[in-house]
Amino acid sequence: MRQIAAVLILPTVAMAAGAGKVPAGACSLIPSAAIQRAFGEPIANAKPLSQIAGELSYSHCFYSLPTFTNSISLSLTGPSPADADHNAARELWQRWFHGAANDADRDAPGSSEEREAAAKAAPVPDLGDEAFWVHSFVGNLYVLKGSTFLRISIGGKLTDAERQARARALAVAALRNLDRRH
Amino acid sequence: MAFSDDDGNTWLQSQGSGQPAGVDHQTVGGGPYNTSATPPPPPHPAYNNTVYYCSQDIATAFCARSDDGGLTFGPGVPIYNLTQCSGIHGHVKVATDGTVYVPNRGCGANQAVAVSSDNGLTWAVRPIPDSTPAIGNDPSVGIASDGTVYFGYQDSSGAAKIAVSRDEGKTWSSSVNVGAQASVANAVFPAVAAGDSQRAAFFFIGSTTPGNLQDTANYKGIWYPFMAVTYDGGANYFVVNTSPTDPVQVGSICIGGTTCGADRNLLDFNDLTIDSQGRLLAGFADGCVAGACDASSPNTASRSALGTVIRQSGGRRMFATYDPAEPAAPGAPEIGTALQSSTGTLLTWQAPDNGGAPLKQYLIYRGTSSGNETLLTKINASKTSFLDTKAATGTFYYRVAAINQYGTSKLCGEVMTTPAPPIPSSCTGTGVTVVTDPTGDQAAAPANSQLDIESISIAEKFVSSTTNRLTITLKVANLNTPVTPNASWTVFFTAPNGTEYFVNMNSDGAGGTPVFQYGHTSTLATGSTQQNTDGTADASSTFSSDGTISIIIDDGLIGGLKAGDTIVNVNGKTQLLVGGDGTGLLETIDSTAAGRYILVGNAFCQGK
Repeated sequence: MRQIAAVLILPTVAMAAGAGKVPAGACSLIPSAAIQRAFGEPIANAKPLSQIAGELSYSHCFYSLPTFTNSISLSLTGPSPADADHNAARELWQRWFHGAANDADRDAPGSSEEREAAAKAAPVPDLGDEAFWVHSFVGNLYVLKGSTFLRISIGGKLTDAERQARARALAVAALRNLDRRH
Repeated sequence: MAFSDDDGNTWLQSQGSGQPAGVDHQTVGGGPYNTSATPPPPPHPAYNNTVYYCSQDIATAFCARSDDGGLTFGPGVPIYNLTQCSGIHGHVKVATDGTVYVPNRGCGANQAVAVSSDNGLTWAVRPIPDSTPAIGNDPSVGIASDGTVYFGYQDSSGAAKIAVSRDEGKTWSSSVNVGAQASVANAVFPAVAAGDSQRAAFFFIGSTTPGNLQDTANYKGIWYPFMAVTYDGGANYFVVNTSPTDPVQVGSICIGGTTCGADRNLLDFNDLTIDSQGRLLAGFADGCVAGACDASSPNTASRSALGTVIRQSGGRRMFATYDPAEPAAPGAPEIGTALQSSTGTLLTWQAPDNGGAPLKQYLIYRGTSSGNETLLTKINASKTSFLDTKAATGTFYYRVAAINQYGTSKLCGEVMTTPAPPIPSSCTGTGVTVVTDPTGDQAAAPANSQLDIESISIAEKFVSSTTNRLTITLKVANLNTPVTPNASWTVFFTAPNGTEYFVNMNSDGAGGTPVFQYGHTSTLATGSTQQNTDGTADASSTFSSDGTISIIIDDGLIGGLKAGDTIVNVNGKTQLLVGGDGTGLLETIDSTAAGRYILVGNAFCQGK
């Protein structure tokens, strides 16, 4: 049987980000104190993953808490060094939350279902440049700030409002750190 | 979501979303933890296995892990970065070593599988290098006991292909076009399952007709459920049509999402699984329901969506320890019913495992007391029913055995005669019930109860020797005053001339007073179906507050129907104009499966 080598993307520690173009590692964005305030327990482990995809840089951190369902998924998307005008992440944001960027996207297979999901995104006022809460089985908060956006997901047996409030508190803390790095 | 720990007897509510979820392609899978992952999994005393919930989320997708059997879940972790793959994906599955897999049909130039080796905390996308993005269906993975991953997919040409990885998706074998062995040119809805090392199966709906499978007007393919099985790790596949006399669909199949027309009756996310003794079970929607549709039917007769399971009845299993010794005598036929009427007793049974050789005959045993049956007759194995004309009265007991060239089966079950239910008459009341539909299944229930279809019946009462007409009765939950405005109650059917006709009551006219109409449908260039109103139904058409709508229509206006004709794909739909007359959209509130009706002719009902 012929074996074909596949492209492999390995997790790496995402602490080398910076220099204004690549977002800071997501694991350094939410202070342990903010998590302690929101969930009443400290971080047990923070596992990073970072990837460069064309003009986009992607950094993810899984903050494990002693109570697993209190854990937090934070991802940060921004311009990669290949994105000369630092606009790639913002364009992606526009496509997701404000309609397809072009006609070709509209005809893409399955895009009608994807637009249905986007239609369920609820605007969140006074957070970053723009923010949306996506109703789903778990809570997902998207926040745009400058040339980057972040996504915070929270699980657990909470009401939608409780999840949103906790995610918002974490987003505020993350945005504060993001501002300091720029 | 709810889950059960006692085989479905009781259910516990999971954490839920708190709001109606806007996501699609929700899937749940479970399996062991990867205990060597970093960080290690937390203690989980209540449940040995983890459960994953995965779903679409805007343009990406996420998976969330539960450590308590599905009661609560952690956060949703993106399973691909934001540009790697589109948001639509297949079912999540967990290997015996705890590695988690979610397949995706379009990741750049390939299809791929998202893999987590750390119990769902981080994910990597691993493409199948020689694959091309699917036309529109999700791929599926099956994971054997030794961790071998089988990735079954529809490629960009519509072919059914499968690739194999033995290193968690890092490298893949060349893809094999398994459909080609059965001359399958187009395949949809792949589903894969794997059992012991070296054993896997790939289920798909396939057609031997090439061309654009979504071309509603021109594609004439006939679709069947196929199973491809390997017992040597993917070196060879055996492909069988699991239902050669009963197709799944005739004509086009929509796989383009919510923008399709009437051929979106078959939906994706089929599944294939394995029972505790290694038999394969495939679940899918059947568009061509037996009795109303066959391979010669028009496309419009093939628009049902009947939930259906195909179960393996013979041959090698996915777990070798349960492989039957073959060839051997057949399995025992499971006996069904013995319905007694004035014409005799109609005995029915299920065809058994043939033991690896074609069945030759069935032996029918009959007795007048339980356990004392003697051989009554032998019949050809092509039938699974027998009419005992000598048993029109009295009590009898029956058993059935099967024969192939290697011997006679054991017996399975005994059945006693029971009175056959009365045959419904087309001549009285609302006539023959053609379709029933669950109460309370309408959109936004319990609201919209006036649009909740319960049944469709057809009668041909005698009026005069020259009058030939149908009385089509659509029963909804109620039609209390005021009748819902801007709504329609429609019954569709296909006549022997191949044209789909409809009759309806609608309240979208001035003042909302219901009117009764008839017409025919046509297919637009976009593939969507248009209703063309041809005129007004008979003036004696009525409705009542108990929800009974009776629409009377002359046979000559709907294809020149006559006694002996069969109308197929009889189905109902209620719709509501949302957003105001002339400006809004028609929203379907309820729809039914399809049935058929054989005309007896009004003259037949004279004096009955």
